[in-house]
Parts: sequence; C-alpha cells; structure tokens
Amino acid sequence: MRKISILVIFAFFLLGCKQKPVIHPTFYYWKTDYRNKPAETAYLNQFKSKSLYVRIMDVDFKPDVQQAAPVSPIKFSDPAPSGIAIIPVVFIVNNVFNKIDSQQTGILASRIAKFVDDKVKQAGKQNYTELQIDCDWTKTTRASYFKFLKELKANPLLKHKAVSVTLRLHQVKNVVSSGIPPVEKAMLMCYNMGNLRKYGEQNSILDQHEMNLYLKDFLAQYPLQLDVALPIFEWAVVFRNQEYAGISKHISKTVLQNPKLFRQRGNTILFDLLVDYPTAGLKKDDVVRWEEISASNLSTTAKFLSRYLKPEERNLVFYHLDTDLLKHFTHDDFQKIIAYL
Amino acid sequence: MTFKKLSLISSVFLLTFFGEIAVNIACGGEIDPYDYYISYFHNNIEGDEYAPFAFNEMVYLNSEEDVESEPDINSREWAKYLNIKKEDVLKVMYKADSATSVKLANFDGNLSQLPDSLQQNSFIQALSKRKAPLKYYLFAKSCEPLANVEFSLWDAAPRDTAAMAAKANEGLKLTADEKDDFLKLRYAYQSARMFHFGGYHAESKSTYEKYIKPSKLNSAVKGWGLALYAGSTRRLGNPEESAFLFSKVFASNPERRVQAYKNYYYNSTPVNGALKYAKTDNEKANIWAINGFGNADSGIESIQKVYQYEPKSQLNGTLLVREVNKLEQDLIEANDIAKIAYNYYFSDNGGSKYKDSLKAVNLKHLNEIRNFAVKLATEKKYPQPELGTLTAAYLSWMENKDFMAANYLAILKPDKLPERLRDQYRITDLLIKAKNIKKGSPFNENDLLPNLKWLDEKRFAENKTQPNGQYYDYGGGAEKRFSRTTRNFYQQILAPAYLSLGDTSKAALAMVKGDIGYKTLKENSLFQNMSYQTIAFWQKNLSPKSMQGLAVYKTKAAGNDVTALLASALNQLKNDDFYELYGTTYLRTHQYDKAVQMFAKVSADYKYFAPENWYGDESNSKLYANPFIETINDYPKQYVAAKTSVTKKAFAAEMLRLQKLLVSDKKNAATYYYKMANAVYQTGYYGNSWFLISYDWSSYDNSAPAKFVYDGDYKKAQTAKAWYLKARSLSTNPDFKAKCTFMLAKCLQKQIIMNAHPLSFSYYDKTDVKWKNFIKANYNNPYFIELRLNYNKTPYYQVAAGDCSYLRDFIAAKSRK
Repeated sequence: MRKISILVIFAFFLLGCKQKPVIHPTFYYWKTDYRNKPAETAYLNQFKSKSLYVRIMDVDFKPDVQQAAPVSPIKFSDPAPSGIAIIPVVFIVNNVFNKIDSQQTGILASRIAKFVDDKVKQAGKQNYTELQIDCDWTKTTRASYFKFLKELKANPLLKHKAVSVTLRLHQVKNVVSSGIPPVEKAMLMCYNMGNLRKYGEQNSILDQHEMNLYLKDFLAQYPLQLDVALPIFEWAVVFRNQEYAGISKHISKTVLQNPKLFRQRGNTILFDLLVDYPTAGLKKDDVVRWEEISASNLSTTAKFLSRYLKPEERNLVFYHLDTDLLKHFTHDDFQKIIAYL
Repeated sequence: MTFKKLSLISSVFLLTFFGEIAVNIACGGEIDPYDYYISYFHNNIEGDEYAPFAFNEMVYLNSEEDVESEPDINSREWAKYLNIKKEDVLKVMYKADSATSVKLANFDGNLSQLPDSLQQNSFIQALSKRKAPLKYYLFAKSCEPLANVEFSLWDAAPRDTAAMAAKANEGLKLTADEKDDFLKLRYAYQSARMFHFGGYHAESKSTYEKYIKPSKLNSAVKGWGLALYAGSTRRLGNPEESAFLFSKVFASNPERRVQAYKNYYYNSTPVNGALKYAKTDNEKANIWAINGFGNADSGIESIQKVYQYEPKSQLNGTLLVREVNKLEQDLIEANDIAKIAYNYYFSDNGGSKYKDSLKAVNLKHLNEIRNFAVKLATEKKYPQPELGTLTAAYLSWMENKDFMAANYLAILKPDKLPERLRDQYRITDLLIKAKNIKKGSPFNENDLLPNLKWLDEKRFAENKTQPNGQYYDYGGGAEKRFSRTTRNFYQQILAPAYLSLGDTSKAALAMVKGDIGYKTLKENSLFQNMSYQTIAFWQKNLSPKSMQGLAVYKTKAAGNDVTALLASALNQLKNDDFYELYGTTYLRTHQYDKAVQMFAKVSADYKYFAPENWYGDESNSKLYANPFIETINDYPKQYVAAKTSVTKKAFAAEMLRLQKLLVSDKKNAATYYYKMANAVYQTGYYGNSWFLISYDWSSYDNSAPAKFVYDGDYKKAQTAKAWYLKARSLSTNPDFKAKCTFMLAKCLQKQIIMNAHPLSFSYYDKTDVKWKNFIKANYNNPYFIELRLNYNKTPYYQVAAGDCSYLRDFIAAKSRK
C-alpha cells in the first residue's frame, strides 16, 4: 500500500510539473558591416546558439528608377562565425507593396532569393535553411505581400528552405484585417510597440500595457508557430516643443547623467536639456526620452508571454547583437529570461 | 511676385500645361519630346557647341550625347604622341571585341600574338617597339576589369575595393617612377580613378593634387582627372566646392560636358554655392550658364549674368534661343482647326481670369527677353549680333506686333547672314507676311511662293526615304526642324487663315500640304498619309460644297502660284479616299443621286471602312452595316455578316431608289418614307450603320453637343424624325401610324438624352435630382402620350409595350393614376 501511494504521489509530481519547452536563444545581427567581435561571438557560444539572424538588406521603392531596390546591403568584412548557421533576414518597407503591381511581386521574390543566396555565400556559408521576411504589412498591402510570400516560397532557390515572417503585436490582435501570412512560422516582435513619436513618459520600446492590450486575449489563439524577439537596445528620443525631432546618435546614458547638461524629471525617463548642445545638434529646452530595457523588464515580458504561448520549442532572439548593448546584461540575466519564457 | 500670385500662376500653368498634354495624349499618340509645342524658331541657330542643352521640358536633356567624342580626343592625343594614325588607336582602344581585348591585355610586344588585322595597325606596331608606352598600355588594360563593371541594383557582389586600392597604389608607384610627362599624367589618372571607384576619396584627391593638377601638358586627361576630383569632393561632403569644380570641367571638356552638368546638379546647391569659389569671369559665366540650362522658367537672370561676364561666348546664344523656345511653348496656342479637343474636360473653371494673368506674366517675360535681344544686337559684343535682331523680330511677331516685327527684320541683310540665321530670317519673313492673309487685305499670297518652295526643299532634304510602314510619320526626331516648321506653317497659320476667309476647301488643301514631307510617296492613299488632325478636319468638317471646291482646286495644279503648290500636294495622292469622302458628304446631306455618282468614281477594289468588332473572335473581327431593319430596341445593335452587308455605295443606291419611288409611286409613299426613316435612324449613334456617315464612334458622342453637319443624323435623329412624321401623315393605317409614333418617341429620346448632359451625373445614383429629371423626361415623352391616347388598341402597341421597358413603365404609371 505504502509503495503504491509513493508511486502515485511521485506520478502526480511528475505529471503536475509543467513540461518546460526547449528555448533556443540567439541574436539578430543588424549592422551593415559584419565583423566578428570576440565578445559578441562569445555570447553566441555561451548560448550554444545554432543560428544567427542576420539582416541582409532593406528593400525600398526607389522613385527615380520606379522599382524596388536593395538599400544598404550587408558587407561581410569577416566571414560569419563557424559552427553557426545564418538565418538571413530581409526588411521590406511596407510602401513597396503599395507601389508594385501583381506582375512585379514575382520578380521581386526571385531577385531577393538570388541576392540573399549570393550574400550567404559571401558570408562563407554554403547554404541556409530559413529565410525571414520582415515587413510591417497593412490591410491595403496584405494581398500583394501574401502573394509575394507565396511566390518566394515557390522559388527554386528556396526549395527545402523555410520562409518565416515577422509579426507585430497589432497583427496578432487584428487577425481578421491583417490576415495570417502563408508561412509556417512567425517571429513575434516584442518591441517598438508604443508610439515613438508621441510626446510622453511612455517607453515606446517595451510597454506592458500595450502588450496586454494586443496580446492578452489574442496571442494564445494565433495559429502559426511562433518565435519571440526581445529588445536589448536603447536610444535617446528627442522632442522639441513637444514635437518629435528624431533619435539622437550623440546621446548616451552617460551624457544624460551630466548635471551640467541634463536634469531628469522626477522618476520619469524624460530629461530636460539645460543648455544648447551643438555636438548633438540640440538646443536648450529640448527634451530627451531615454528608452532602455532592463533585465527585469525582459523577465516580466518573458513571464507574460509564457502564459499565452503554446508549450513548444521556439527561438528566442535578442535584438540586437552589439558589444555595447551586451554590457548592460550579465549572462545570468539572460538565463533567467530564457527560463521564464 | 507675391507667394499667392506665384502659386496661383503656377497652379494655373500646371493645369493648362498638363491639360493640354492630356488632351494631346487622349487625341493623338505618345508625346514626341521634340514636337510637343508649336515652334518656328529652330533651337540650333546659334551653333552646336551647347546642343544638348537646347530647351526641352519633356526630357532631362535635349540630347545625352556630347558634342565631341572622348574616344576621338584620346585617340588623337595618342596619335600625336606616337606619331601614328588616329583611326588605328581608335580601333585598338575603343573598338576591339571582347576576345581581342583579352589578347591585347596579354600583349607583350610580340606581334604574332595578335590577329592579322591588328598586326598592321600602327598603334600596335608602335607599342611593340616602345617599352614605356607598352608598359602603360598593359597597366591600363589591367585596370579594366575593375573599372568596367556593369551596374545593377540587384547585384549582390560588392565592389572589390581592396583590389582597386592595390591597383591604385601600384599605379602611384608607376606614376612616381615615370619620367615621360604624357605617360606620367595617364598613370596618375588611372590611379586616381581606381582610388575613386574604391571609395578612397581622400587618396584620389591627393593623387590629383600631386600629379595631375601640376602637369604642364595640354591634355584632356587633366579635365577627366578634375571630374574625378570634383566627384571625390562631393563624396567627402563639400557639395558647393564640388559643383564649382564640375563647372570647370563643363567649361574645359566638351566631351564630358553632359557628365559635368549632371554632376553639378547632383550636388543640389544653389547658384551662390558654386559662385563662392569662382574667381574669374569665365568661371562665373559657366556657373550661371549651367543654372540657366537647368531652368525651365524665365532665365533672364542667368542670361544677363552670362552676358555680363562673357559676352562673346556661345553660351549667350544658346540661352537666348532657349528663352524664345520657352516663350513659344507658353504663348503660341495650338489651333484646333479640326475641333477635336474634348471641351468638357477642361471647361472654363473661371478660367479666363487665370488665363489672362498667366498671359500677362508670359508677355512680361517676352518683353524682358526682347529687350535683352536688342541689347545683344546693338552692343555688338557677341560675335553674331544679328541673332539678337532676329530674336526681336520673331518675338514681336509672336506678340502680334507685326509692324514692329517687320521693322526689326528690315535691319538685317539676309545675304550677309550666316546660313542658319539666314534660314531663320526666311521663316520669320514668311510668318510676318502670312499675317496679311485676311479679309479686306490686298495682300497677294503668291508673294509667299518663293519661301514656301524653299521650305519644301528643306523639308524634303530631311525626309529622303519614306518608311515602309503604312502610318503617317509624325516627323519625329530632334533633327527634323524644317519638317516641323513647314507642317506647322501650313496647318497652324495658313489653313486657319483660309478658314477665316471662308475658303474651307483651301484650308483643307493646306492641311494636306502640311502633312506631306516626302518628295515621292510609296503608298499614296490619302488618309494613310495624313496626320490625325488633318484626317479629322477632312472627315468631320467638309461639306459637299467644300469637296466641290477641292475638286476644282485639283484641276489647278499646273500653275505657278500657291494654289498650284497646294493642289499638287493633294494630287500626289490617290483619288479613292477623296471620292469616298465626297460621296459620304452627300450621304450626310441626303443627296443620294450625287452620292451614287461619287461612289462610282471609287475603285472597284476599294476597301470601305468597317469598324472593329472588339467583342468578336477572328472570324468576326469586323462589323457590317444593316440600315434597313426595323427595331424596337436600340440595344443590342444588330449587325450582319460581310456577305449581306450594305456598303455606302449600296446604301446610296437603295436610298436613291426609294427617293425616286416617293415621286413615282405616291400611293405607297408612306412606306417608302418609313423605310428611309429607319435607314437614316440606323446611321445614328445608336444604330448599326453609323459608319455610313461617321468615321468614328465614341461612347461619349451622345453626350457631346452637336458640332458637325452630320450630327443632325448621328446624334439627334432629326431627319429620321422628319421622315417618320411624313410617313405617319401620309398613312391611314392605325397600326402603321402607331409604329411611326413609337419610332418618333425613339427619335425624341435621343434629344432627351443629349439635353440631360448624361456625363454630369452618375446613372446609378438614384437620389441625384439630375437622374430623377432624366428618368422623368424619358417617361413623359410626348409621343408616348400620343401613343397611349390614340393607338392603344393597335396590335403594334402591345408588341412595343412588350419589348420596350420605358413604354411599359410609362403605361403602368399612367394606369395607376
């Protein structure tokens, strides 16, 4: 009797524990010149990442030639790290699908396929298994974009390869108007969810309120297999007279902490500029909103997502791989986030 | 000029400009960028030095070809240096095919390596004998694969910048070591070029400064080096200096002028940006000239500045001619003699006030340019001051100040003028004199004859061979200036003048003369050789009287006057189309006896026009007339097959027969009137035989107001109505009378539709008051009322009510009352 009850209790424990799905952590590489930096590659090794998402190019519509064309394609100054596969990513500006007609989506698909193929070889890789298309499509571009995806999948260069897409929060909520892209897998981009250009104290990169709004009631039902992308970047958003004035390349946290230049507004992430700052092209009374992500933000986000995501294997991709950004996190921080998902 | 005025004027300009273009596109074929406005002032009379920059708003540059050839220039320099033939250098350096090019890249001086044809080449022989030039030649060939890469947006391969840098450094060493100035300069150029293409702009610039700039040689290569230097300056973030440097290349290197011009503008700097760096008058003049060349609006500022700094330069002439062309585009209104413009697209939206203010601006521009032209002429600093006088004369003619124009012209001595100015003098003289062709003027048009004959010869010279194609050749191409001038003179000046004198026939003749640019014609049917305007004018505007006049003119081709000149043009063409049209004009006026006579003069194998059946397949590609049918519904139109079709000839014959029967068989006159009414109804817009009286059909026709003589039948069913009334009055049979009444209702409906302006409302918007009124008018057709009142017991009444929904609805509505 005793043996049986122990067995039963053991079985309950076993069954009661939720099976934790396997998470594959890795990064997005989003710079235009690939250089193999030891600190960055070390992280990949620590994560035991099998792949790296690498931005190959943007595609935008060029009015002077009246066609879609590559913008700032990546250059491989160093070959991609060995032992790690490349997942090429192509960012397509939504407007392209407003401008090109149904004849041209097929042409665009074959051009992209060829270009990506050549670039992957330049990276020193013989092949790749997945191509990701990053496009924030809308109701009006949906038909054209989905047609493009189908044509891409049908391209001979993509035989035996998967095509995945990025998915933004609003597309999860508005499934009816956004539609479901004709691919097997999508990457849920959990960043840039707020309104960058709106003056206020909100963090436009990561905002729990926004995630609740868009995901709480909808994420669990989304029919595609999902990977997750989380932000580790930071930036200084500049406002002048409460109007959006851009993102400053010359402002860092250190600069913001200089009491001669900036004064923080209470506990908010807003900083008032006290004097003219010509180095950064800023004027007195400009306001900088410093948006950054902490490890605990990401943990919270991971926990939130895990409530709604199916317990299945997925990639967790941090945006983006950069030595300076990695300095704000420890290896333990990352492990916690991965564990929470 | 205030902003409001400016925006007003520019928006009106844009509206009329694009409106005119839209009409041209709608009415004609594709726009010819060298023939999109009326022009008589040839754009090359000042000379060819700046030919690519002649005024043209339809293309970025009037020509993309430089006035001198770089291969030629480089070959000449090498030929002089090696004391050999220029053609031999050209052959080797610029005309070798890819296989030969590979052999040449590996040439080590041993002639047997190369094909026979090159072994005799003096350049190759020189290279085989002289070590240093050969060494340079091979180095230059080794740069080729890096430099000659075809640009493709979608090419993933990045530039091999590392290899380019290596090549450039190799070149630098060779430059430093080379003692011969000729070769040293070229080594330096290759190095600077490799640095430039590789993106090493600082190094490219220093190469220029160290080796190219100080070279004492008088060589075009220095200019090419400067172009690279200017480009690197731009890449390194100094657009204003870059623009200035490109203006220097523009001035010094005619073989690179177009490139320099484009690159000046890539910098997007205002004129003052480049001017900052200009020290000499020549530099300033060229900067202002480039700005003038890129300006489609009034260039008075640039031209005055260029003249101030370099009054002798041909830049002044080019800028002046540009201004005249701009004024032609803005002020000369194309004459729509054929009345083919669709008025309702661009009707006066309070247009006249805006048009006036626009005209005032343009006239002000004209005056400024004329004043400048007079200054150019009187100060005699410019080498061809007569250009100024000629311009003043022409502009005065444009402004309708003929007396002033003639006075300016009188100052010139045509025999002493250079050829192009003399030609333009003759044209201007012709234009001024032609103004005298008007009512009450004693002017004898034969005074124009010598100049007209001269224009003919000029035109023929431009059009030596007629193409094999069947279609009217629009005289396209930048070089066909006299063709355009001649055509414009006949069709824009002479034909309207004759029309205003009341001589439609002579106007028609002038239109034809305007279109024939060839001395002999391979395919000489009339309408195959005419432009759309001429065809439309003839087919829509001519009456039997005008055709008669033309027939008379055709007999006067032997004389030595303008009439003979015009008539002999028409006589170059076959008579079939002429008589076919003549017959059709009689059909339109219902003079069937005369129509029959005219059609008898048409060849037996003449192919009468049958419209395309857009909905049919291969076997059913054309539509054939079936005018004598009775129909209740207009739609669908009931055509027949080719075999049973009624040609114009047969139609005329049958109508004539019926007409005669009206007299000889008075008892059955009603029936004959009825048959004739049916036929003439079917020749209307709604019928299946419209092409018996009209040469085209557009779905907009029923809403456009009647313009032409045959619109009475084509649009309004007027004759049909008159004949149905006659038929009805002559009959006593109530059923027959019911039929006539119903047909009368149909005739009247055509008027109802036209009066309702159907384009002004949507047929599907049932809430629109215009739609409601339209429906109401249809349902209250007075002939329906008559039908119901007097003929509601007849068998036909039931048939009609069954087939015609309007009648049915009318009856139903009335019954409910």
